[in-house]
Amino acid sequence: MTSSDGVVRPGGGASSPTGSIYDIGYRGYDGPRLGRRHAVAALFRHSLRSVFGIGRPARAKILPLVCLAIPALIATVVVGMTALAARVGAGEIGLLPGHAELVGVVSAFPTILVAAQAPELLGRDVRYRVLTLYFSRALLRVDYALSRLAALATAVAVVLLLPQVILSVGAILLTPDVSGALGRELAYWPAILGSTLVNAFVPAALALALASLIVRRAYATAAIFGVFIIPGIVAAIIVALDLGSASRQIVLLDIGAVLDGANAWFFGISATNETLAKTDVPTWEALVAAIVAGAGAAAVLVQRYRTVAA
Amino acid sequence: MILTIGAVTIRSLLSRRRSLLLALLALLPIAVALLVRLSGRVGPGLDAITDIVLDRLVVTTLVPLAALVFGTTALGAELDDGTAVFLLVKPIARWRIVAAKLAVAVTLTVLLTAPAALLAGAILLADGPGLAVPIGAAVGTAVGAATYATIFLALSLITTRALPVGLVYVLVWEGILAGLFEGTRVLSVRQYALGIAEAIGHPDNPDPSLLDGRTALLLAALAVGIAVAIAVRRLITFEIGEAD
Amino acid sequence: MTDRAERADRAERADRTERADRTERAGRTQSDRVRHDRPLWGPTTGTGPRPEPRPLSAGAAVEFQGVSRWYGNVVAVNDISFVLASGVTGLLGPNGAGKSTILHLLAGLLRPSDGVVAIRGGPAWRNPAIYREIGLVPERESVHPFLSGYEFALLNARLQALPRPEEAARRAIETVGLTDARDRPVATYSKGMRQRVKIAGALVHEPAILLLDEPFNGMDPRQRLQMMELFAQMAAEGRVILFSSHILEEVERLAQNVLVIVSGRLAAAGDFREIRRLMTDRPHTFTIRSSDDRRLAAALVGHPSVFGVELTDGRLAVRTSDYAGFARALPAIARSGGLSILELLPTDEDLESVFGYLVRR
Repeated sequence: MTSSDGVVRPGGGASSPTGSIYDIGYRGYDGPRLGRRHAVAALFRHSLRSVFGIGRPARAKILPLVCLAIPALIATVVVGMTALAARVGAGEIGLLPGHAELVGVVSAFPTILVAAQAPELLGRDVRYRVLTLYFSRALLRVDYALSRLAALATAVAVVLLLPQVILSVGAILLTPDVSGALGRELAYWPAILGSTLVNAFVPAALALALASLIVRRAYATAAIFGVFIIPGIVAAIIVALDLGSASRQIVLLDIGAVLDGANAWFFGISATNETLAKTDVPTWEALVAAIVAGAGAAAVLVQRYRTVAA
Repeated sequence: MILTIGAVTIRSLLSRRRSLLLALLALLPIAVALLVRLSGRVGPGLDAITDIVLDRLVVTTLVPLAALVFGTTALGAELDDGTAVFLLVKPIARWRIVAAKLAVAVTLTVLLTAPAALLAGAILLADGPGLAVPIGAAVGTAVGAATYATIFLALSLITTRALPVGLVYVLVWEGILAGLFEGTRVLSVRQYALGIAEAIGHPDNPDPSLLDGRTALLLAALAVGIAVAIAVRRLITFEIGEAD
Repeated sequence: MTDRAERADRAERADRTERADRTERAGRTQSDRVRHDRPLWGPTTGTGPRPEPRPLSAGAAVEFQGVSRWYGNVVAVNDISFVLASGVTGLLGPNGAGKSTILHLLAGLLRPSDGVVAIRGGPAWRNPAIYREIGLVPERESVHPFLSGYEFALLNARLQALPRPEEAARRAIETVGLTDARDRPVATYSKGMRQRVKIAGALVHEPAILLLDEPFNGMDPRQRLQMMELFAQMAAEGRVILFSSHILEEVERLAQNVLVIVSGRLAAAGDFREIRRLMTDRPHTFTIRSSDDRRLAAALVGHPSVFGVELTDGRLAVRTSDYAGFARALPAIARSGGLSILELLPTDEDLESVFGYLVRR
């Protein structure tokens, strides 16, 4: 035994040294263990908080909050202008975006959010080599990938839904006929939800797939940005060239156009995206392309994390 | 000294895979231009397409993207992963360090974008009135590239999140807001580039919605000057991140 | 007693008397001094709680004067002053004590929130000229992984504007023993090799001042010995070497002086044996082997300076509060009892005990 001042006092005589170990507090854990589902849920919650910078220093909150605030602001302005027009008696302003058009107007912000945050979500774990810690728990590799994806998609969904909610609430509050307005707004919501689902899942999946392939965060962000924007410009040019109906399919490489087309399909309108409108590509094709792109990206993400060295 | 620093910076920026990808990116406008020519499109449609290629593709997208990548990582990557310390504990004036990094960032960005603008423009307007427009495009692109790269380099010394911040600047400011109000033209690097290109490409009847060429050049120089001053100042007073 | 034992005894006595005198002298100033919960100032610095701002010591290579560094509410370095002369000084302290902060302050990589950090009389902060004289080997920072060892040393040599950089680089690589691996990229190096290549980079311009942050991290014993010999040799040439460590054995073996940092404060400075002797509030322990331990124990217990005696393992362990008194009394006690002292060892004068006392204050 060793007492605190370092003097050794043996328990027995000088001829038979004894020793004992005292249980000073370390205990194994015998209690209930939450399983895989809880691990996934915990990672999901943590990732979602991380995307919005909650639990991180203030600097990390700026960008996600900007992405959240500006679309909301735009929606508020629309509501305000509608109210103003009603007050002035000018009737509806046709140019103001409704639920369907709003998605297109704020489309830059999901892009910014995923381009900035997807590398953040994945890059830190790879860089500091903590993946082993994750995978030595109940969490499977595929769980990690999908959980991160679900969180980022949810975050984008929040960014997209908030302005829609504001529009709906505004529309309900502005008219004297509340129940009628409520009914009208509710009719929109299946389309809103469907469109939001696609418009959140696909960018998140694509961004995460790219982020999983490019470790350096700066380069990943630039790559995501490039992939989202450059094909669109090229597609616009090729479509403008009018090289034939086959070439029109090139528009399906433009993520912005595809997402807009999917959105249009949900709302039953025609595409608002310039490039898409010029081609005759039906909106359901755009929806299918979007789903395929999203699923493919998710598959790449999962496969990447199946094989990445922990 | 500047060459030494520059050489290491280039080596760290351009790995083989990265160089390949960037080369492909630089060839993209040229490939598109060739495609357009092969399609035989002429007339006003061609002008519209040329506009899309040179303005939207090169100046608005490729140049800021390339400048973001090279500008924020030329110095920023080293500050981030700690290898900058070995550079900082040397008896070299801080402005020289900034100059070296800047030279690399600007050169790489310009090399990636200006020739692409020149060639794409030349191909598109091959039977047009001379090379004024392509040359204008190339020069405007080069000035824009240099300005962006310098600004982003200075940004990398101000924040560790220089790339997202730069992204927000490019997408939100230059993409949306600067287009809305005319007065903000003076604060947009894209407008500097376009103004210079216009001044060289159409010296007789420049587009009035764009900045006048001389003004654009002046503003670009001013932006570069301010950015360099900020960068040098930040490097002089640089403090290492929190140790334990 | 035998002749030999008598001579040994006398020599011991003389030695003990001398040390006792010294301790007494120190003890006298000790009693004038303030209580022991203030930081102790070793022989290399002034005494007293806070020195007035003095003009910087002329010609001193490295000087800290009342330096503090805080981050918001966290004080990383708290009013530290010292002067380094040529030789090897160990910067010792638990993790998080502020050792890296001190080294970064010395290297001009951090601005002191208060006080003056002086290298050869000039400030360390915002003064790139000092880097001609300083070599820094940081702990965490890594080398560009794509460079080979030689290329890294060469890069450092070129950045130092040396007239013949290739030669300097080659020499530095050889000095740290990386000649065989010098053309391989640093990414393929083991941790010890990476440490050594960083040292090579810092040695390339043969600096007068060398600052090392946990330099022996990851080195195997043989490499460590080689590096220690290198530093000892450099110190003998007149250079100032400051290295930080939390491994007492390294500091004990290599450093001539120590600076003990605990929670950002300078807890002690100087030769660690002297520091030990200044701690008279801690009982000293000795291990004695004599011709008859039991009788010696009985005799010692009677003496006022002894307050603990223990027979263990064929040895006698004695605890005493009065170092000097005991040192004088022991030979007399032994002689009057007709005993011979065969071995007398202080057991807690090693750095570990000193360090333990300082940390546990």
